[in-house]
Amino acid sequence: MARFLIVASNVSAGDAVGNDIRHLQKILLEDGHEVKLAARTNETANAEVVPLAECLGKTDKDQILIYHQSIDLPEAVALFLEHRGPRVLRYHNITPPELLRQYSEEIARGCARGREETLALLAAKPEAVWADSPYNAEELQGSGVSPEICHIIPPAHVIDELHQVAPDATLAAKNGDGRKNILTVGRIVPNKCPHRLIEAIGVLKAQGRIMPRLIIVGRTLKQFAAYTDSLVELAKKLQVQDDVCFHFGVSPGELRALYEKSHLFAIASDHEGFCVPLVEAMSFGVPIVALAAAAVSGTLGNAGITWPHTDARVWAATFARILRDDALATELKVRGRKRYEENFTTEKISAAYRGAIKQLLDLPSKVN
Amino acid sequence: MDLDLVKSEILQEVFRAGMPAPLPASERNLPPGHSPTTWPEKILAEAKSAESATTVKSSLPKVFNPLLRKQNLVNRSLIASARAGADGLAEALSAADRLESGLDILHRAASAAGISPNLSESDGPSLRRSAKTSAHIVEFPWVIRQTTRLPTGATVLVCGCAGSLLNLELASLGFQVLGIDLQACADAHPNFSFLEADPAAPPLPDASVDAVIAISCLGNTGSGHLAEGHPTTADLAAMQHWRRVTKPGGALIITLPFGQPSPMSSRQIFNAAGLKALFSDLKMEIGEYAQCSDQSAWSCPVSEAQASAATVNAAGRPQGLALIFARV
Repeated sequence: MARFLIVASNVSAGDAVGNDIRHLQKILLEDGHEVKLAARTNETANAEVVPLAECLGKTDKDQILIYHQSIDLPEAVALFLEHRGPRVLRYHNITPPELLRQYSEEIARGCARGREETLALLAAKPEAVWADSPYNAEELQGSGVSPEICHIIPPAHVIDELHQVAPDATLAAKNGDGRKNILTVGRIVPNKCPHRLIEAIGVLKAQGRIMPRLIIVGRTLKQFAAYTDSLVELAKKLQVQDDVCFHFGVSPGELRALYEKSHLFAIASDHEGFCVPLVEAMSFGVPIVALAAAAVSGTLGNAGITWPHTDARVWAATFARILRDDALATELKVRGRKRYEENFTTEKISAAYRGAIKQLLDLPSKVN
Repeated sequence: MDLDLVKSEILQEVFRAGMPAPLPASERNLPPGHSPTTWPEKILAEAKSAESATTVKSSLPKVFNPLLRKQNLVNRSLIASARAGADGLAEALSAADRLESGLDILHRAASAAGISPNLSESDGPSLRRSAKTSAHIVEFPWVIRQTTRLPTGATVLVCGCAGSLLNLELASLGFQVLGIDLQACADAHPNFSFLEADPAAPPLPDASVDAVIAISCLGNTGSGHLAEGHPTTADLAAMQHWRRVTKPGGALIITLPFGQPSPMSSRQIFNAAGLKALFSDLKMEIGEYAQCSDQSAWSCPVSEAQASAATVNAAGRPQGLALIFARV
């Protein structure tokens, strides 16, 4: 049995990092290890999450420290640097600040600091680095991380639970009205660029040949309220305000209903460290169109249509083609399901985690 | 099912149908509610925050590269300004000269960056004259002359089209012009379509255009000046893409720097062996050369030997050109 301390900025339900942390905790406990969670903030009902500041100066070298990095967190860096035992950096990537600065200097500065902190963490020579995706691994290796200690472990998710929860009847009925639905899921922030999808809907509207409904699902942040407002304004400007539906927070049942009633999933994000919603869409067999940026291509593989550019006309034509071409939609659905089953099921991710943990515990020095 | 084929069909549908963009090019792909005119101010603020010219030069790529990667957010004037810090003011002026406000933006950026304290309004006209007698003074008329060899109404792909008059010139002559650039292009003509994408890797179907025009597009990628006259992998890859999208019997009309490789040039300058490597599997119908004298006067054609001896000027700009018309 080993003792683990998992550290993160925030432990919450419903976001990718929070889900990953809770799954890692679960499999460590299942394997008989001792696990302690420490975070700056705790949004779950788990009362056992320790305030991060209380851990400083109190870890011992027999503990294995796993830091889930996704934003700047100086106290976690201090803990990481002072810890005498084995250390693992779980890297979820950090949004490049220039993608956010236009709307929030505060968050952009946080991201810039986070990226600097990544370099400090790597300079401390952790025993292992766990990357969400090949893209993240490439970024880390570009900063000098040896491939031998760099493992790719997709982030754990709650897709199994999503498939088990009852779909929300109201949303299912509303969106099962015979109209074609295009879904996008992700925090409503500038780097995820849902405005590009609204532009594509605008093109379809101008053509008048097919008019799907665009469903935008995601939590908003008060720092990006202006961006959220501008999405609504853009929809009005393009005269598609009645064709774009926003859901700024959904329950698992509502999310399931939306995936099940969607005919296409689209994402035009400029930066993703992995993109869990892609995997959710694959699991539900929803055909995918995506911008081939950052980690998206690595996650999606050949299971969807990707474009390297954001020309709204091309995206609109792609939407129209998939929504009209049943054979293509079926092909993409089958490819998505296959990719999900082969790479991203909870069992596959647990196995990847267990392999990396075993390798960590087998290390001759520090760990034992 | 071949998804690449599906994508090709989608692109054909878009560009054959002449599908309109939802917004003016200047606004497309910008986060909505945000005016593109505020971007220069952001860039200037970044430049002003740097402590010294040296810092600016080293920080410029950090400031601009992310934006350049998001090319559709950056208009040509910003790129000209960016280059003011990295590659020299004359080069930047060459691009900025095409804009009414280019010189002003360039001055403000250069001044904020402290790169060229001696640059004043009075320098503008001479620098602009210099820009006007850049290699373009030969390249554009030569290319237009070669288009008389193309069938009437031919589909022509213009690589790196943003800011180029060639788009509208060829469209006005009856060609079906598809411009491609990573930067936005606002040109409008019934015979002109624009695709925001990498000109070195056009996402077009195989054999879909009658001709590809690439004016000074080669030699711009990677550390070209270290390649000693030979094409880089990026250059060869671009040629392969252009061959792929050109119909059998179609033409590649290409101009490229030619002469003595120089570490002063940020661009690749090709030599005869380099040209041979680039065009080895094409039927070269016309290969001409141009050279610039010490008096900034360009001449075309000159002999290969004369062009081979061409070097670079004080700003590091190549003083020799190769102009090629080749068939696929």
